[in-house]
Amino acid sequence: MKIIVLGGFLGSGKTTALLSLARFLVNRCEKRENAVMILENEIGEVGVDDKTVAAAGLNVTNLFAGCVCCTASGELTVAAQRILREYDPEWLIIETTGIAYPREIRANLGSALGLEPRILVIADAVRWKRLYRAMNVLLAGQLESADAVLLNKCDAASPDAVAGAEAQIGTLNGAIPLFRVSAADGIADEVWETATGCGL
Amino acid sequence: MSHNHEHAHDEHTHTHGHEEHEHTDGEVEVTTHDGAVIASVGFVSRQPEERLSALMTEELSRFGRQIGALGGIIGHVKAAVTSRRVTTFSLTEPDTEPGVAALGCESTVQLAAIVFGVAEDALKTIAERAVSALR
Repeated sequence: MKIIVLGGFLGSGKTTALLSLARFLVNRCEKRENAVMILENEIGEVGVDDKTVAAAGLNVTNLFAGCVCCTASGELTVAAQRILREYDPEWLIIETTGIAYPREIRANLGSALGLEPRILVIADAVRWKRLYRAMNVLLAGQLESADAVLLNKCDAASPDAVAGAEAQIGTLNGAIPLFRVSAADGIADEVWETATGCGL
Repeated sequence: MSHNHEHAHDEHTHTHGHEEHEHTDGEVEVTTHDGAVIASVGFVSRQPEERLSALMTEELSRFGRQIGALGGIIGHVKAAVTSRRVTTFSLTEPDTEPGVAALGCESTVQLAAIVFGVAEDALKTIAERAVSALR
């Protein structure tokens, strides 16, 4: 089982990107049920994103455990172990809450399952500047462990905003690929091939 | 699995309790996590689908304005509406067309608001007003 952790701030477009990613992975997998599974971690007490994912015909498990980047929480690893045991998927996509630090999820899964998830972070080109001013610690922390960044909503942001966000993300983690995308319009397979490492 | 618990740990703190079932009682629950204030509510609406969709747009916009007016920052305000429409078909005579009756629509709404810089009771009041308008 390969794991992708999909992180990024609230409202950045993680769920929309997830649907595109899942379709990409499903098309690459052998044709069997549950080849791609989704684990949703929602911060509130109700499920919203899981409805979106389930409506697209994907198999989704929801974790209402608060933020599962918490090192004190075993619920993420229990859920991931159960999914591996019961479904043996090729891919497990974990969509984090918008205030999670993906590096901690990687650490949890690494120590519990011996698996090294790939971390993809979705950044919001429209709100980047405003949010970074207010929450730079969180946004920087989310990016520092990313293997790739998708700078989303580039269709709705001004060219200056996109360039500014890209430059700042580059200073925070310049070693990784960054893709300008508009998830609502679809994300090209070539982006996912590089971002997921499938194309390597 | 279902449980209620509170926990805190070294990197950041939050408290919450929950049960693993879909909430539809209309009670707004407010929790906190790392500076974020989170309102969650599930409820049933019997508004016609199209009307509910229009109301949802209005109420979410109002939600945003109210958060802004309080000087808060919107993380994300989101809702999922799952609608169930029942239509019955009835035949009692040969060589006749079945009667068709649309019995209305019931929608389950799950709404979550994650904001910053707003007091818990203020967020709860805003969420409760939205629920009242949407039911």
